[in-house]
Amino acid sequence: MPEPFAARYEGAVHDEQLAANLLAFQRGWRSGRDAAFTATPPPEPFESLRQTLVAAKDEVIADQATYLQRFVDNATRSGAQVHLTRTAAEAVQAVVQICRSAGADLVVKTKSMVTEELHLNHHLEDHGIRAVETDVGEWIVQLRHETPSHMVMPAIHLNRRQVAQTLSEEVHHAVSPTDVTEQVATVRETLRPVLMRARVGISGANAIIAGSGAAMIVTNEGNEALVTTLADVHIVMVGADKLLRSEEDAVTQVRLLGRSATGQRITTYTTFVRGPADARQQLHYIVVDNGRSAMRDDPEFREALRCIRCAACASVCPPYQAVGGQVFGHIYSGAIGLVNTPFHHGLDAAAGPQSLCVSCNACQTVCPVDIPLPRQILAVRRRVVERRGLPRLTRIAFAIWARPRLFRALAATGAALTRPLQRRDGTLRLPLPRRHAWRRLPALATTPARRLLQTPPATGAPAVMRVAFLTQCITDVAAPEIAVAAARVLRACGAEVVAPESLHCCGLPMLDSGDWDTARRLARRTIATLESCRADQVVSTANSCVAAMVHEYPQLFAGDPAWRRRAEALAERTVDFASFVAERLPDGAIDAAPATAATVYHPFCQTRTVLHADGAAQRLLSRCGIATAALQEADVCCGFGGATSTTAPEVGRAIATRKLDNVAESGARVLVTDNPGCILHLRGAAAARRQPLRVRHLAEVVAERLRN
Amino acid sequence: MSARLGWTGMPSTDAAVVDAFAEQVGVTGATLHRCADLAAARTAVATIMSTLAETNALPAVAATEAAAGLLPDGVVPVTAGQRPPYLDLGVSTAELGVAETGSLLLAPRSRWDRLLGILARVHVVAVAEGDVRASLDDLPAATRSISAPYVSLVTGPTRTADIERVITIGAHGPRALHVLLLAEPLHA
Repeated sequence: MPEPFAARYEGAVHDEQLAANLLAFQRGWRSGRDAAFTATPPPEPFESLRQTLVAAKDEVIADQATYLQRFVDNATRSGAQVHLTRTAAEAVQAVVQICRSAGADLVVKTKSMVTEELHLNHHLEDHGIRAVETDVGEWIVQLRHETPSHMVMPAIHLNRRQVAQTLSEEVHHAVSPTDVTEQVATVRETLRPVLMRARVGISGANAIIAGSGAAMIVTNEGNEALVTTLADVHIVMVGADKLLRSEEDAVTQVRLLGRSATGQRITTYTTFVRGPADARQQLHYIVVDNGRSAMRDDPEFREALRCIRCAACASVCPPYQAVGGQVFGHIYSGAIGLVNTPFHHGLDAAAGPQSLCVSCNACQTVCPVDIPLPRQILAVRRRVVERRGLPRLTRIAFAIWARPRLFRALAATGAALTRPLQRRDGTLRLPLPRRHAWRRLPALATTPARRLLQTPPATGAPAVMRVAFLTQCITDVAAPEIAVAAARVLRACGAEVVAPESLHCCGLPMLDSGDWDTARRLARRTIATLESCRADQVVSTANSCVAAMVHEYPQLFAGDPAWRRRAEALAERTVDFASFVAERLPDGAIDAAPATAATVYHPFCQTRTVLHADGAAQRLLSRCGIATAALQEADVCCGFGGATSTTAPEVGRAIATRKLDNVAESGARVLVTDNPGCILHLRGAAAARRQPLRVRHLAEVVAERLRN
Repeated sequence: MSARLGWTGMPSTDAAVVDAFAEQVGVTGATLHRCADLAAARTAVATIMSTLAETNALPAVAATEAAAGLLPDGVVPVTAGQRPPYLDLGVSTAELGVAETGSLLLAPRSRWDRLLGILARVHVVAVAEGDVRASLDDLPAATRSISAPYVSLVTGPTRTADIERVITIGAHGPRALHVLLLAEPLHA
């Protein structure tokens, strides 16, 4: 069983080796995975292939009982015995029973996440049955008494030196700390006699097939054939979610699984077990529910049952890189681990890990079954808050934030008090607690943006449309120049800009933190105020707020049809700054001028993943005459992540460092982006590490090129 | 016609499918031998055997029932009853080849037929050109009529990337896979 979350977190964030190992892994995985979908493409592109599998999985999920019965009938006809188990205890009991009747005190295993879910090895040990893992990574993890840190590569958090140490202790002789081939040979030679001796072999299954009663098992190492064929009893442990209709569906899964998991078109072995090996062998299927039915009955989480355990959501996840899967998850790791843990191991087990998600939404972009993981993680977060309440400081902060007048008064007081502490670079000379020492806080504005926008503009061309401008809270108090620049650009687009001072927080921070009641209150107020503007369009320079209004508001009001309609009407009229301006800025409005220093564009994550507006921003930059430099890992988050960089500052630091290292490598002295939270986060982190970097909003870059 | 399999679909002629298969077998890390007939295949097996013979020891060799005819004359194969932990060479036949991935479809009829391909450090699999299919999509229909407890796609030698994502060829199973692509049917 894993240690408590806080202890795991503490251990991981101070383990620099871990972060280095995982950074190397994620970089390699990303290029391998992308190449597998482009250089050796499947017959269909990724997007249509995954929708094919989604349709197949969803049909089985919708009609689970029918397909499961069909599997049971067909597998039974093939000579297998099928045990349907509802709870973890029932599943474990079934295995113990089979081992007892076989007189086995030793079982060998292939890698199987569902057996990890059940803590099967520990339970077997309690019954005097020794379970030995035979997958190379899984055995290393077993020897170290750890849980897998990745669903596909269980020991990817370790380097070869650490592996050598573990193996040397087990085999009582020195194993090479550098030669991986020798290490693998050690595993093979050590495990072979165990494999030859075992009478029971336990495998997982990547799919079970209703139409034929077969199980599909994919492996690279060849241990599966030894585990399942040498033994006289083969037990297949499988979650009920692995059910497919047909071999045709299995082919689709194969095409997605290898590419998503390891960048392979197909693994070395793809085996369909269709019955016992011969008359002497028993074949048992233990089909495990353990919370899956509850997941199916829960409309917020149902799609998570599509998961094929490729771990792409972990391999792509920035916080996962910072802390590893033993922290970013419980038994299941990565984004899917945050989502399914409440059903398999309880909400409390998910509470800590889910707090580390930065909502960059990268997981859904690579998920081969298009699980709405970002939305589901926010739903888990909401449930955690419903049960445990908000942390005290967050509760106090939100109580202030939700009251516009108090918010304004405190911001003004803060600005006045901290004025003597302002540095020339716009950060504050304010000592921060040790955990936050990697960053600097932004100076607060003397006059907030929402007030500045009340000054009527000098008369210009007559407006052709009316735009309501939503000033985001961070812009208001710490970066008013962004709002002022944006208003100028919008006017140059022919817009009359309205920005009532009463237009306050959109509710995103609360939504993001799981406090949906407060979020709804602020969302209703925002919707009503914006409706009263009678504007043709709503525009903001905070793409986080735009994404919230366009994509989260309808979720927020899922149970309230009247407000949902109003939210949807607002969503239709709401657009990010770049998309609006790229479309409407007249050709003669700007004087293109090259940047004075090497520049990179780093879109806010949801600009790419939710709004799909990064292309518009790029077009706008090139119209401004700015050529951007290539940026490694451009798609990886900056680590701001809303509240995450505050509540888990070590994660914020690690991801910011990754981003700023990549920026430094590009040679850029200017970074242009489109979300104020990311801007202040990057400015503060760059300043603290004395990296010469100007972080600017796209609106500022466009505004300074406006004619007149 | 390009043998590279892409968005535009699969090769459409039998010869192009076979060529695509041959190319993709190479991509998987296996070694391809094109053989005119069974006799040529037997010669290929003998050549492979001669390269792996460790000094002073007769290599431990086994063949599946269907592949027994591919063993060179005079070779005494290891049998299931000896329960060897390893074999030097295992010889099998494939039901089908798949051009899309360079895979071989094996349908071993007995436990030993399946095991010998895993216990072997070097695995040789013979497949006939006439049994090569373009795509994985062809498999469900093609395998329905096969009556065997296991149907297994084999793609390249065994490997692991579990340590530092370093690809290590030769994990629990073969470190080398030889594919004998026969111009003639496997069974006369």
